[in-house]
Amino acid sequence: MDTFDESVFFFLNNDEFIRWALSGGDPADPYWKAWMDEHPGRISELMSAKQIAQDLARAQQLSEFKPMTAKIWEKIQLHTAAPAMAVAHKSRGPVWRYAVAASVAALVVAGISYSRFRKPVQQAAVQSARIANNLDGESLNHVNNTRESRVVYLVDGSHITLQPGASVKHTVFLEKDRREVWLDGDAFFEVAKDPNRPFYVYAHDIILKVLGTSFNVTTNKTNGNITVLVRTGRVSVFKYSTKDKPEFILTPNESARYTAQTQTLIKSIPGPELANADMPVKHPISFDFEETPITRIFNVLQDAYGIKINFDEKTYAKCIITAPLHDETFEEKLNIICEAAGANYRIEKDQVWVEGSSCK
Amino acid sequence: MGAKDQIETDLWSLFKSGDKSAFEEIYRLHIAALLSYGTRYCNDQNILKDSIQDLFVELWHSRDHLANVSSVRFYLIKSLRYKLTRRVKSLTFVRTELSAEAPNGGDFSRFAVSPEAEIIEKEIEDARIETLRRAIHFLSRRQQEVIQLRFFQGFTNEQIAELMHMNYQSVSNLVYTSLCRIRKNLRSAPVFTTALLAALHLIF
Repeated sequence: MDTFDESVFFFLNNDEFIRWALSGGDPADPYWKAWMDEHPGRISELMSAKQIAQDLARAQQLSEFKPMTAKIWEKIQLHTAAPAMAVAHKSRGPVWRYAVAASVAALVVAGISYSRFRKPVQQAAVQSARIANNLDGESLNHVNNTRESRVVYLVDGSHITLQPGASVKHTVFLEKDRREVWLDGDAFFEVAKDPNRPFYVYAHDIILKVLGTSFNVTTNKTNGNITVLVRTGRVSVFKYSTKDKPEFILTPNESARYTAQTQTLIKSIPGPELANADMPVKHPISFDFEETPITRIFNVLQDAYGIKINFDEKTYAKCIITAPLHDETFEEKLNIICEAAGANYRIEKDQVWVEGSSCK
Repeated sequence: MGAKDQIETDLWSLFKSGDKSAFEEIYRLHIAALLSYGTRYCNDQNILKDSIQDLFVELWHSRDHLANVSSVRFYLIKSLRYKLTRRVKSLTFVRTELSAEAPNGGDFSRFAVSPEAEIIEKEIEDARIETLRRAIHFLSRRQQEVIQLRFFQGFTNEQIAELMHMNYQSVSNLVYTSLCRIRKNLRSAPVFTTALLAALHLIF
């Protein structure tokens, strides 16, 4: 049997040698330079070993993973928003990042670069004074920068009442086989029934799963504690770390409390402060349009959903319709409106385009 | 402690104190190794991506209770392995596949014929690495695994022992026999003469 050179293996069996060889094998390295000075007769074997180690490393290089790397990081970010942060008015990033920059300055000197995976944030053309709806890559982020609660509408017919400072993020048209939103802050959810697509709310360390129900989530910004209270329907509550198994299921008037510090989740009876919490403002936006210019209807929808609707002002200037809309899904609303106006719509790149009209 | 180790220690401390940029840098430094490691055990990309995502999310959420680790790379790989074993029934190392097309059509003989002839350095480099890959391809699963952990991931014998559930001495022996096997593979194929190996600067 062929034997491998023992004196070369001597080096390859040495952990320190491997560490040195695989990080470049700099001959100026103090330890190995000293060793070579003391054992000049073994230098050629050491060099052979180094060459072998480096060749073996190179022979196992795999293909690039760049796109996957960025995608995974995006998802990690969604689940690791720090609870105690100020909500920015522009989506420039929370305040803590600037404080952090100072502490990592020393490391930058050592040659580490801090790259950002975040895609540039584009402000949606819809600049509502009420809710800031920002398109960030593939997701839509609604932020309530006002001092009152505001309602956000999702394309499936669900609505979320955001308390001041709260925000929710989701893919614009919720296309997957599950509807997912990421919540930061306090909100009341009214989820439209869709048995084929469970609705998931990710609030830091906990996950809520619902089929069609209404419930309230509050987050304490200082300690990260989260409370869930169910009004109607049923909600399954999971901890992120054990997300294949629900901790428990909440029914109407039941509540769960998550303590961030100990990572414990318990069912509880709602305290008086929760039980008497005001029912959030119900549907301040009315979709019941009577003899309304269609241009106004489009603007109301844009504001409510945060989705851009493109249409030619001139074409629809004189178009007035009646459309008594309520809880339909976004597309059902569009169907009804377009039918009344004799127009068509299409959805492309997360925006709506309305064309044609037989409206007088 | 080398400069690189110091940086790693500092990054870890910063991350533990809640520094998101340090956390991101840790991700950036180790993600390629994690993906390389994971793809050798798990064919399902979705499982691998989910497991890595879970790993980092949980890392972030538990940063307050984390100890200082001597090797972040090893800690992450070990954690990933644990996650994968919970989702994949039996975690076995996936052997390499021979690439369909070798760089120069697999014909290395011309290097031996005129080793001093003008051959572009890159060609030699490609041929060398390809030759070595072929030799590794014919190792057993365990031999391939130990070569991967030792020379690609750069783990210590003790770390490999922990990952492969072996004792330290067995790891050492396994590395040795794997190297013997590679040498044998290099020299036994007809086209691999010592002249060729010398031309390719393959020392084995």
